[in-house]
Amino acid sequence: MRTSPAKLLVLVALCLVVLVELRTALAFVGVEVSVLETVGVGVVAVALLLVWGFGVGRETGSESESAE
Amino acid sequence: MCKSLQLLLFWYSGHPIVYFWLLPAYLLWYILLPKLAGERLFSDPLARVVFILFVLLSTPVGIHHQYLDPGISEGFKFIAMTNTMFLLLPSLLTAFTVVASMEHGARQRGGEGYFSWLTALPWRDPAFTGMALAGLVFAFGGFTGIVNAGMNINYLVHNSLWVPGHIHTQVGTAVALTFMAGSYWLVPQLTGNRLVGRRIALVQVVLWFVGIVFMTNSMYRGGLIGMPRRTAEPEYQGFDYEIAAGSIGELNAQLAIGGVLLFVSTVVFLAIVFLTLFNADSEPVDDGTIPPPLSGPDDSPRVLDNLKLWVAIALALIVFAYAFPLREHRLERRALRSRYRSVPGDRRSGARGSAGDRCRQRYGAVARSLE
Repeated sequence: MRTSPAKLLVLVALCLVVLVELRTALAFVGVEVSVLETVGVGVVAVALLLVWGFGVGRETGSESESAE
Repeated sequence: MCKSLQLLLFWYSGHPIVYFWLLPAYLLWYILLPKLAGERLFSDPLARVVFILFVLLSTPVGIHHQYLDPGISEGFKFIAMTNTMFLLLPSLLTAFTVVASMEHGARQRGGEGYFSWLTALPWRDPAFTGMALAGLVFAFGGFTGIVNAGMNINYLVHNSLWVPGHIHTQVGTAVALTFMAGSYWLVPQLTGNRLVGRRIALVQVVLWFVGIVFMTNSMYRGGLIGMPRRTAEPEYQGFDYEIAAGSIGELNAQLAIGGVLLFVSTVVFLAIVFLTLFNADSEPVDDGTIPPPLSGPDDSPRVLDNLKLWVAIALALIVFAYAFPLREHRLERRALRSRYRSVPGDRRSGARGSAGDRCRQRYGAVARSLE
């Protein structure tokens, strides 16, 4: 894994939060994104995060699950 | 009692009450969060400044809930707004001090770079993650608090769903999530029992974070288009909200999804704490020490320790904040009484009623004039 499951969980949560808030922020500047489009982008973004997170690579940072 | 006096006294106590909840959360951010992040608080003097500013400013700010109420002059509301805006200062200082402490801790753990140090923080610890996410939501809540504090922009959101959105962000997350996360550290310390389901606890705090953002985002958006608070079905016949994005149905659905996530998160939290209380496994209790700050009490100006001075200034501010509105209230009552006395027919026995009756009559007249 490139990162720990804990960090991946937090990243997915932050991704969802950004999606919800970004839709609101875009609406203020006249860019309307539908719920379906938001869900679609969310699914792709979370999938990419999971693929990256579970990919083969060295975990960044000093905190690792093996340290438990 | 007169309605205007009731409101004044209610918000005199009502707003400071939130600090009874918030300041223990601040204590956890200042003491426990740096400890969990790696070690030490960044600055003890800055922490002292923050808590003194809260002593000074937290009590006189209740008037910012009354920007639309009669009985307080507009000029004085402006002064109250200035006082309320100054409360942002301790919050911003807290954000700086706590993030600096976390960064220092992360760098002690091997973190590097401008942002890469974030990966060195103990995200697998639900106590740390919950408090860090609560702090993040608190920052968003602080920005929405600026809207509440500003007289001109407050008129847009007054009595709308925006206000419960703000309180759910602040008390419902900055406080509640910090307390839940803090419990994951504190309960094992108090009982000597190992925390049950640490990974589930991590999911629980993240679930709360996502749930509150879903819920409050819909509340803020609803408030901006004028959806009233304290209303179960805020859609009226023959009236459409001018919503910026999506629909009212979407907002309600998003709010409901957020509420369900929060409910599930609460149940999981209670289950974890309950099971931990009865968990037979032992866990080494914390050493019970608070690591010394990077900049300690010796670096603090001595005047910060003069509590008599700060309490005296706080009392003077409270007197200043409430003497003028109370004086206005008294003058209005006196004017009202003299007006009744000048009308011969109203001087008959029993016609004047109580002071509360007269005040209600006056409010009725104000309300009719607004219609």
